[in-house]
Amino acid sequence: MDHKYLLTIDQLQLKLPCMDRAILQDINYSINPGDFVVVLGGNGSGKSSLIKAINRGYPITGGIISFQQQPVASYCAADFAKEVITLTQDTSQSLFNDLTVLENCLLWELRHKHVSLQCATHQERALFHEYLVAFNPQLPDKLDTTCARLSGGEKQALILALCLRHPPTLLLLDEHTSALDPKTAHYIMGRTHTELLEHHITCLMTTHDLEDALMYGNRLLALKEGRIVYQADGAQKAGLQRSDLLTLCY
Amino acid sequence: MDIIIPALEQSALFFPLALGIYLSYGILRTTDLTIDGSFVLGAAVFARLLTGGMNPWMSLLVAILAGFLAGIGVSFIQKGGRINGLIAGVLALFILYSVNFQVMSRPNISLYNAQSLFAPALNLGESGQWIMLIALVMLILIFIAFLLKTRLGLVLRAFGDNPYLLKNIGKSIEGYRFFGLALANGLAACCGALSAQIHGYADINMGFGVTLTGIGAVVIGQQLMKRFTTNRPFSVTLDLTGCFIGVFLYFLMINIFLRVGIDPINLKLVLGLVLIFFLRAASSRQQGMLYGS
Repeated sequence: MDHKYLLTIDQLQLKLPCMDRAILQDINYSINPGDFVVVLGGNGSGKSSLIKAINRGYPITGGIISFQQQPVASYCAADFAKEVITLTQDTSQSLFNDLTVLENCLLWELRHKHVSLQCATHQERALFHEYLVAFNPQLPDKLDTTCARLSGGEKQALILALCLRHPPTLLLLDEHTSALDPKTAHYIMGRTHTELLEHHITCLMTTHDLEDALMYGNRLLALKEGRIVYQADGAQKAGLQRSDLLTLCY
Repeated sequence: MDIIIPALEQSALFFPLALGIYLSYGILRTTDLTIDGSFVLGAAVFARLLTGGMNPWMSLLVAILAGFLAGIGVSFIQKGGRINGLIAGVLALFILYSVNFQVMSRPNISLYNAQSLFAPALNLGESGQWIMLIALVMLILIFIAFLLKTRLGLVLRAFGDNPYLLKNIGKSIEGYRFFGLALANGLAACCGALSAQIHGYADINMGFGVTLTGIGAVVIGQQLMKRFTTNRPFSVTLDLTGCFIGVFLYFLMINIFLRVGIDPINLKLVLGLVLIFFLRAASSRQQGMLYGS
């Protein structure tokens, strides 16, 4: 078989020592390069845990998760950081809140660079001034503002900009627009989608927004009590209605 | 004037340690109590080597290296987050008490008959050693200021702000804790060695409370800088100036208290109360929402 999956999840089991029931059980799933997988499921169904199992936030207790034919656990931190990025609704996990926008940009650049004794230059400043405007017109004027003082929409736009500076191979989105107002959420979601297509980024996204689940992605996966209860690909997913999702996925 | 000059001299002597505290408490945001022990370790190593006949500058260098080692040691105790930073510091301090005794082999070493670090300036009289000390402290200050302006300094600040994210960016957070704490303790050891030189002796108990004094001074300085410059982003110059002002005000207070006739036995009581006031003022804005009525 020549087909190379980007990510394969094989017999995944995830159990935390403090809980008697497994959070994730018997998960088998493979993701092709370029796939956009939408993950649905109620609260506590294991959506976020699945993301954390993939990004090594939780040590898995059974099965194996392979990324580019290599177990995720075997990657060194620096290599994994270049390939995989996770965004959540909690922007404080993706930003250094007491540091300025520019300092955050410089730090995120270190995903691809070694830490040096170089000082911040005017060129770098000009570079990010120009780069950020495409994501949010206010951001370039706030290079010296600390991130804690940005609005929720500005933060999420900045985070998106930061993670697309050097596009990852796999982007994990954990309800990244759920804390935003409808208009901003719509903008960020649309923007995310455009960038995914443009840079051929593979994406796994959890969401509670059924409109988004119908509109975006070529594959759909539903979890319930830690198990896969429904999946649909390609044309089958495209034919789904809102009412289908409610009956099939929850 | 006869209050200000001694206060300035004491501040210059204490400043390397304050910079160490600024690095660990202000930048890395860990409270590292090892500093108390590293201060004595620096003095002990310096005094022992100097009285053993080693060149004063080499002795100072070895004393600083000993401080680095103490910092690396306490990072090891903390490694993996298994032991809380505060407890790790107290543990390291506990261990260092024995180590310092071993190094000194007696509770007190006098440097009265040894060669002085400041021998080249002694023909200038009493002020000569202070000029050399201030020049040395300035060099340290420039080094730290440069460091904080670089990408490495930025990463150290990022460590203090959000170590989880730093890890997700693919950086080894243990490595930066190692580096930061080693540097902080090296500075403390340097300060200990200089103190031993200026005072003419090293004593096993000379480090009592220096961490607390340093934290107090750094917090006083930062509070004042915050009052005068609202909502500024990070500035190396302002922060380090704040540190010095904080240290100076602290020693000014001590000198004034002694001058107005407060019994030296009660000095720590009074200073402790002043520090409580400043530390409370510093955190009121962060946690006031939780406890406020």
